[in-house]
Amino acid sequence: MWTIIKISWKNIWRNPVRSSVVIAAVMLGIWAGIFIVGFTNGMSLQRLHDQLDTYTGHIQIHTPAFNNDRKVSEYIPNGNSVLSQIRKTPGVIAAIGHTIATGLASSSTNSYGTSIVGVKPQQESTVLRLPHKLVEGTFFKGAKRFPVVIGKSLAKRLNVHLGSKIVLTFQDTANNITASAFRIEGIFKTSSNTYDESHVFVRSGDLNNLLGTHDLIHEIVIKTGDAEKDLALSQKIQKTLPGLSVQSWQEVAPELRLLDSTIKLEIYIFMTILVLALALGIVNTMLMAILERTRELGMLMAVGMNKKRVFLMIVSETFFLSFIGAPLGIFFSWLTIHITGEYGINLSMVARGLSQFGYGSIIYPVLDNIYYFHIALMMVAAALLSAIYPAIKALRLRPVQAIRKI
Amino acid sequence: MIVKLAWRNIWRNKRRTFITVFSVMLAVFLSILTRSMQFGSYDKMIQNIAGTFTGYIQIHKKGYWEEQTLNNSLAQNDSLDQVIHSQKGVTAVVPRLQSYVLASGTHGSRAAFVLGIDPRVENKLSEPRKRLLKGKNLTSSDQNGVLIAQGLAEQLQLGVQDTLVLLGQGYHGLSAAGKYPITGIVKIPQPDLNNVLIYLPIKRAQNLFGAYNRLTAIALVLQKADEVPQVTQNLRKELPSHYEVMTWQKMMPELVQAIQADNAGGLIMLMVLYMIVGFGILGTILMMTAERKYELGIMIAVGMHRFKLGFNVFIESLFMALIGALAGILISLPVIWYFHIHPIYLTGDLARGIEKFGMEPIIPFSVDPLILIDQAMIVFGMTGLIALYPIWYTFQLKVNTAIRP
Repeated sequence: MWTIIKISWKNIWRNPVRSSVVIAAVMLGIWAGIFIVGFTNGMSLQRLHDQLDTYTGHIQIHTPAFNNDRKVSEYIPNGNSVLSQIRKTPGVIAAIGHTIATGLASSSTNSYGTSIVGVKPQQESTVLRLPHKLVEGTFFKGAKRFPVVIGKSLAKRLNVHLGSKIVLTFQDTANNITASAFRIEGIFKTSSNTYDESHVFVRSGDLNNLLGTHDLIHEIVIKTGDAEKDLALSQKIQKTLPGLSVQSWQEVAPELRLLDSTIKLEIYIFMTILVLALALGIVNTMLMAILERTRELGMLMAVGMNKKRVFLMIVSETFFLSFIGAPLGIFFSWLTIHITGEYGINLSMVARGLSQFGYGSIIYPVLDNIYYFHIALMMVAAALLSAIYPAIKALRLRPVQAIRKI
Repeated sequence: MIVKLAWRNIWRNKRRTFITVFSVMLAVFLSILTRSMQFGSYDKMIQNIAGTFTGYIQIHKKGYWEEQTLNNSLAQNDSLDQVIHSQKGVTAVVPRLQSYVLASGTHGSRAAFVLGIDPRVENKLSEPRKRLLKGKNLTSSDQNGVLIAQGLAEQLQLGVQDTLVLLGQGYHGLSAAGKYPITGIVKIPQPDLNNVLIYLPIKRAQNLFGAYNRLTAIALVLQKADEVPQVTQNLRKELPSHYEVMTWQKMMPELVQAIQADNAGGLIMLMVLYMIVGFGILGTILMMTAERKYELGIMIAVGMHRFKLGFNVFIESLFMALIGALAGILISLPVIWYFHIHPIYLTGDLARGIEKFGMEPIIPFSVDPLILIDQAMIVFGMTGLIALYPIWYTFQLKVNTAIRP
């Protein structure tokens, strides 16, 4: 057996150019393939984090009733003590409370349905990045009465500008309709027009005054260290807060989760096609090799090499072709992903528009080890399959005819 | 002469030809498969998003899209209708009057989005009939009743037969107020619409807003998405300039950008695939050439011009590339056609997630003939480049070593 493997090894180096081409194809294919996968993965992870940091946070807490009808009267009882308890929970980096009313924002030309979010200006940016998304004005730095920060597309719909007045109409805790004029202090723009149109931000103090209440909290938004562990952490917090609804981002924004899993599916489809293409390349090369060596194989059989040995020889030749390139490719891709993941790939030169849809312009490729493992497994399976057909082809040769061939 | 020679040459050793053709064919097959899946998912995205609510084309009064208020609505008139109905490829003309209001039930009120519709034609676009959960459908455009989206109904704690009160601003600042019995509850797949949408028969909506005979938009349903440019162009030519004709691309730039971003990624993946299949083809051509070293040596030795010989081998490779490319199209056609009609159904978590958004959990395939032709041509071109190698090989071949077995 050992002899046969040694012969195979020598065989593949009898035509070094051809073998190198196959080995290089496998190596480069796997290298480039995994790198692209890591790149895509890094890009979508960044997008996910951007979305979490802008819109939903990692974990949200409401009362179950607020989740259903978002009424002002459904605030979290003892909101502030819940909030300080959450801040002490291990795994939580920061937490903030929002006062939320739902109503209409109107200007002289138009009105639009919107969530009115009362924030504490200094704390907001510890969890959500919205204060950094301003395109005009400031985030509650002025001393004016009743300032409001609205989205750019809402401003366009209402036909208002920085400094204009808008009227916010909403219900208070007793279901009475309240309205008040606010002056626009800042205009923000995120990658989602829908969000920009449907959220306005005011100081929670102002909103509580209008509601006739003191420091109501309808929503607690939490930032954690690891988005993957949010589901488990939210379940842990849920146990300490019976009667409230604790939801991780996967539950709050199922579309993000969907995007996340769609990209994972795409990655696997792509890897499958890639491995398939590599395997077929190998099959073709081996078939060609057998065709070329018809006479030689016939001779070997004629002088008494048995079928098992011929089979083993061809199979191990195929394996050598696959498994010199594959580990190298996996290693190089691992190396490239780690290096570029550390320093990032700056795309701002080629893709100026990326930030518009929530992608950063510096991409940090990243890939879980499990993917390397899976692609290695797929490669082994593909190599096995692609080894068998040429070997069977070789076995079918009839020594007498094979020797006579050119 | 050379072409004839090349054609005969490739059939001299059938197995060798077959292997080379096979590698080209697989390259074409795999790249068509990849591209078909990518295009299929874009088609589905467009159909799901543009084809089920907004419509592929909308006609507004000029300036409506910039500033979406009732004041920018257009007046219904016969000549407009005539022009629109005379367009080829338009399967339904869907009139709409839309605005935001405050909707109230017995328990509080919420901001809501009123869509005034003609129930008969609306069933060809956003299909309230298909989305009905409880109660009855709207049947005529002046029926006294509303369909309310499920999320909104839950928030207002309203059910079928309850009364819904709408309050808002009408045409030219009129105040709009009305109350309607809820005829039915519909589930809208888009979560943000599901929390705000109210379907109101269009005549009632026009009454509510004091916008008699006025529409904010006329949405067009087309037979196929690829008829959009032609129909748009015709409409722009035939309609007076105080109307704007907008395509879904203009109305939903986010969708276009999302597709572009995804397509860029898809193209990079395709490049990697080309690289791999290119290496595969290179491998077979390298071997084919090496195998014929003796034959080529003899040919040169007996006096054949090196250039002619190299060219001959080149033509042979092109023949094989051509056969491979055509065969690639032929074998991928039934495959993508099959998957186009019987798409792959996903299962598990992902499928449930997709279903939540009212989409089918499938991997769609596109059968756009352009994909077939493009991919076949790209692979053919690539093989043509690789086939330059044998030319170089014949040029540098040393006759005295080549013809010694």
